[in-house]
Amino acid sequence: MAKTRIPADELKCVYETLVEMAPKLESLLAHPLMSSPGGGDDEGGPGYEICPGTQVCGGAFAPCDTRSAECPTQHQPSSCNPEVCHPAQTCSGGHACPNHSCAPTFACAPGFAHGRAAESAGESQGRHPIWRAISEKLDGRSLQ
Amino acid sequence: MTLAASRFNVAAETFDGHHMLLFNTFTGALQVCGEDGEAAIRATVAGRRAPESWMVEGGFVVEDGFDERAALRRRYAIKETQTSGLSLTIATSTDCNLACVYCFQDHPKRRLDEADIKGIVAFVAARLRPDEPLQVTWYGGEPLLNMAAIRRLNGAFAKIAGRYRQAIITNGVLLKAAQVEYFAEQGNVDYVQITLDGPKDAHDQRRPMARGASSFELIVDHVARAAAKLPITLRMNVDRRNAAQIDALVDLLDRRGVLRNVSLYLGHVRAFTELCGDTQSHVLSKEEFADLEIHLMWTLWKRGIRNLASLPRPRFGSNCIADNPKGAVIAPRGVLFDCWNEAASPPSAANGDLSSGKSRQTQYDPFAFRDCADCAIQPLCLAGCSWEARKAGAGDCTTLRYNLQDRLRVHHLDRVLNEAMSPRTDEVGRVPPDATPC
Repeated sequence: MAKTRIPADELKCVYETLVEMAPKLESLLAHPLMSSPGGGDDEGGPGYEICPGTQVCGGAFAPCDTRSAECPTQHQPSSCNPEVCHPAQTCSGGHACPNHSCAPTFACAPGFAHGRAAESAGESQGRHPIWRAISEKLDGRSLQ
Repeated sequence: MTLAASRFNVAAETFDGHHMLLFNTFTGALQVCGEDGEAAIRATVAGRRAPESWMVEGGFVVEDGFDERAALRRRYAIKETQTSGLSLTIATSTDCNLACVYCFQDHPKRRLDEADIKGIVAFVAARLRPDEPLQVTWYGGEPLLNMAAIRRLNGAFAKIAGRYRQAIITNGVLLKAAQVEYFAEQGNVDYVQITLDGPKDAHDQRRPMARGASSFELIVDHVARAAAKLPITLRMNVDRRNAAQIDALVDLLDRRGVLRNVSLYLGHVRAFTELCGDTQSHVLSKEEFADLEIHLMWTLWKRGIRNLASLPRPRFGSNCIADNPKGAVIAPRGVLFDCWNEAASPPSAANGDLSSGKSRQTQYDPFAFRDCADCAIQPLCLAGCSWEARKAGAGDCTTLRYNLQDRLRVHHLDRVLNEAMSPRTDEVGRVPPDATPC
């Protein structure tokens, strides 16, 4: 199996913090979270898509959107995954996830767009005690 | 039925070290296994245990004798029959106002003129049904040097195409308030890509104005303003000369309040053409660059910018605009090219023109490379960049070959963390069924 390029001590720190802060961690870790076939995100540039401009929401289910009626990837616009789709993300290249208050609409740029959306939507997560604990421990390590 | 393990399974240990992730690059399915998933698959194909539904549904096991590579070829071939719409890259100007040290263009002073604009409108109108999508990427040189052409074409495309989206590749120097307002009003901009190569000194050494002045402050100011109204993708082009500046750029962007309003990623500087000077001597290897991608991802993760490790998507149909039958790069003088790398090439080297379309079907077979034949990543990359693969006579590996496992690992970590912090998570740590639909 390939080596990790993430500092192992930092991963261990995150894991140990989660063990302390999330009592149901074992259940969460073992959750099978299978993404359906066809899911995933694209790292290609513009024009790299058979469905121009389309992207997936959070990397799990919806491979294309309604702008490509002939998309061969079995269009599933309604199946964005709330586990990974943060409120400010849009499902598939521009249309807002119908059950989220998706503002601002934010189409996924090649491969790397989710972080911004997650962050702008995730202020409440930023204050979550679990994230605060992880952040403080990682910061503490970097100050040592 | 006799089963075999898929040739496209990739395994990774989870971040906690106690579980295994299995990802199938052909189907895009991801499975968390509480035990050694590869051993479970081996036992299944050996007939020592019954197949579990996830193995079959996710494509981790296939019927013995099923030719997965042939299936991959068939999936690639649908580009000839099932694509719709048009995907165009339009170089409004081959000229540029920067003089980047690694640039692959020589910036001849050509811009789209009136005849070109009329030709492009006619080209699109003749090939696009009203219900089909049109995607345009404004490119150069520097595309904003010819805003007049962008405005004219946008007006025309809005009338021709019922479903029109646009993106902009710009150095950001001319992305002033008026341009930001204009593109924001369009309401269909998927992203604006702007490049910063590090903090001021590093950036200005690599991306000075054409006459040598600093471009850094101007660009940072423009990015900060534009990010309030447009989706900005900030790219840092990296080679050996500035690889050590990644953390400094992240720090600077965070201090200036920009980092959390943009999507930051790394571009791999490569010597695409002979115009790149001594760039080749500074190019990072794929593996080195893959390391830096993970370094940046983890650096951002630690700053609370998470959910960057989305799952790679298996390719369907064409790999890029160069092998897309409905794609073209349009340049001044009304000429067509296959690849972005050719946008500033002489018109005499073009592959067709606006009046008659492409003059030849470019012959390219992403399955012709021997080294790719046994690679489990193949469904995700299809031999990578065809421009580079042709030059090398070998597949142009993407960084997924080197860092897919880490991406899967961080993806899993994010999902666990999201779930742990979700108010929807119930007593036993699961998401209730009625919370699933989106």
